[in-house]
Amino acid sequence: MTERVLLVDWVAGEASALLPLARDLAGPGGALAVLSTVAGNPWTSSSGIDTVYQVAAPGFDATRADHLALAIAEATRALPATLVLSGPAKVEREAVARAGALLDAVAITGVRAVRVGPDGVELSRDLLSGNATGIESIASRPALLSLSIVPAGAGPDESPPNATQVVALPVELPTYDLRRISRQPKPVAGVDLEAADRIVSVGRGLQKREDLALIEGLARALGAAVGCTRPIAAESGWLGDDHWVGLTGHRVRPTLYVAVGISGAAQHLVGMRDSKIVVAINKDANAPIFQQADYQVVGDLYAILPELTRLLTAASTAPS
Amino acid sequence: MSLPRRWVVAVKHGIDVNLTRADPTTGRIDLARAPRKTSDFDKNAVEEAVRLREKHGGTVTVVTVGPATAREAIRDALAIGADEGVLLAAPDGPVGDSRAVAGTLAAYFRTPGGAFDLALFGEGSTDHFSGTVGPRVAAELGFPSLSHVRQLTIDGGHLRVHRDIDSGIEELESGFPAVVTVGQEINTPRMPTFLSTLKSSKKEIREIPIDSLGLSASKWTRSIVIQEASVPSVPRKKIRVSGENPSALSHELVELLRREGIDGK
Ligand SMILES: Cc1cc2nc3c(=O)[nH]c(=O)nc-3n(C[C@@H](O)[C@H](O)[C@H](O)COP(=O)(O)OP(=O)(O)OC[C@H]3O[C@@H](n4cnc5c(N)ncnc54)[C@H](O)[C@@H]3O)c2cc1C
Ligand SMILES: Cc1cc2nc3c(=O)[nH]c(=O)nc-3n(C[C@H](O)[C@H](O)[C@H](O)COP(=O)(O)OP(=O)(O)OC[C@H]3O[C@@H](n4cnc5c(N)ncnc54)[C@H](O)[C@@H]3O)c2cc1C
Repeated sequence: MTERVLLVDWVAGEASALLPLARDLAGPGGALAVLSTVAGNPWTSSSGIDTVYQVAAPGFDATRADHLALAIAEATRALPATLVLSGPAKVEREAVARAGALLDAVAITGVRAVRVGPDGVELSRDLLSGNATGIESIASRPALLSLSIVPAGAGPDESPPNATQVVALPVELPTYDLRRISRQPKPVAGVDLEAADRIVSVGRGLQKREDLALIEGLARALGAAVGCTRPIAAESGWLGDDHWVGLTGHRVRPTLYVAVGISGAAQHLVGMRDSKIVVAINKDANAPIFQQADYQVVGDLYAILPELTRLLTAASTAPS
Repeated sequence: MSLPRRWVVAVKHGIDVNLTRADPTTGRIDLARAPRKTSDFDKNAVEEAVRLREKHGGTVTVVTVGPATAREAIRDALAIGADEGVLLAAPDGPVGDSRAVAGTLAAYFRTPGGAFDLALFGEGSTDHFSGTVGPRVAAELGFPSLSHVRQLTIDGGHLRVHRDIDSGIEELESGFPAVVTVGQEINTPRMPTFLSTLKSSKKEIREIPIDSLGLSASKWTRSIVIQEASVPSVPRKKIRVSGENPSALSHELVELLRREGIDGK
């Protein structure tokens, strides 16, 4: 079965990382289109894309999930698309859900991988709060997918350039009363956890914000990025969301993951399970994180981190 | 404009992930036989609705889609302080997917008894965690959805929320009816007391068979089929680092890491 694939380009150009996958799914006989929400879209020269649907609606705001949903629904009908692919942002997930309702179609989020199997399209996603991996099949079309992991970098572009048709897409916006009053950015550290080779991650074992210096010190000594559990980012707000590892945060796969004062809840483990070497430092010998660790250090982080950091720093600066 | 008084919370009797065990030889999980419990964030949603009623009056109704055993989720919500429960009773057989569940809830909300001013959902369930049911219901009914809400207030005829978008916190205002989804950050659900549990056992749970809601058969037929659920296992060395004191532990760990090719930088 060939698929007619619609890529949702929420931020200009963002969806290019999904292009190779989209091409794969469309196959030789399928169709490939992009929904572009930003004026002056970068897609017209891209090869392999048959159609760009360019949203043409005064007042359209792509950062509003309800607006984006209406555009997705319109473009899906216009192509007509059998598969819609979008990224993992909260706005995209909500938009895909709303668009699913508008089209009476299935919408699935948190998709780790998509492939075309003998029985059609198969997905793999996390189930049971990260305790399990599920294989799911979708028996109806269109189906709207939000991927939790966007493949890094677009693959080589091998398809011959073709004439891309740009179609203006009118969208009728909702009339109910919903307004944005303000928007406060969270602290942005510009860390890219997905790309980090080493991560020192911290949990509620840390007592105060100032003590983050201990974590940052160890991270510096190892040349590592700083990660954290959900409470540190979402409850205490000591670190921004770029640091948040887990089911509702980032999925990381570094060579070294040091979990400091982290209990090891399933929702956290799902984000770091693919790490190569895991070190856990926790004062509770029965903490579940130890079952997922290569090296288990039972002890008080406040006593261990200064010493560990000193040793690692001394080793790297010692004359050899 | 009349003030909002009808608070509705959608609760799911989901899988208790902490009690679910995989078959030790195959690593597979039999979802149909997995133990159940009320989905975590749904308790935050109930707590928030009860606080709204305490402040603004009105009635908190909890509604669930599921088999008779899903009454347990309603009981949990009633014990936290909800006033009444509705079980949208699903037929035996395969569980509906998110589209089916959201379609069923929307059909119920369209009935005269189902109308609401504010509907609260979890931002994702403990088992399937698609986070789609709340926004889907809103879109089906033509209402705004305000997802990932961290703080919620009502000021006259308006709803004001702070909600998490990936890059920051947004403050939104909307009219009613509206749909919100919440996570664990919004509040700490109160623990039911012996008395509240006793009182709640007398509260009414209405049962409505979903086939009386006028849904087409294709609506309830799931089109997402979970073929397999298994526990991913990553082998770990599980070496306990030895040492009497922090210094000895640190030396030992640094040595172990060095053997793995990891040095300070
Ligand atoms: C034995 C078993 C087998 C299953 N098999 C399948 C399958 O083959 N295919 C499939 O797609 N799914 C399957 N599921 C999961 C299915 O029941 C989903 O939960 C359903 O699709 C709802 O989607 P969600 O969990 O992603 O909800 P989310 O959108 O993550 O939930 C968000 C919120 O919506 C509300 N909500 C969700 N579900 C309900 C409900 N039932 N009643 C009231 N409110 C609710 C709650 O407020 C919840 O916090 C199975 C579940 C079980 C227990
Ligand atoms: C639907 C859902 C989604 C979620 N998503 C995520 C997610 O994406 N990411 C995530 O991380 N969590 C997530 N959570 C939350 C998760 O369930 C846990 O609550 C959370 O991971 C716990 O964080 P923690 O380990 O920092 O804190 P805690 O569980 O409180 O653990 C703190 C640990 O620190 C140890 N400790 C205390 N003092 C010291 C000391 N001095 N020295 C050494 N050790 C010490 C303790 O022994 C304990 O093990 C989610 C939950 C739900 C329900």
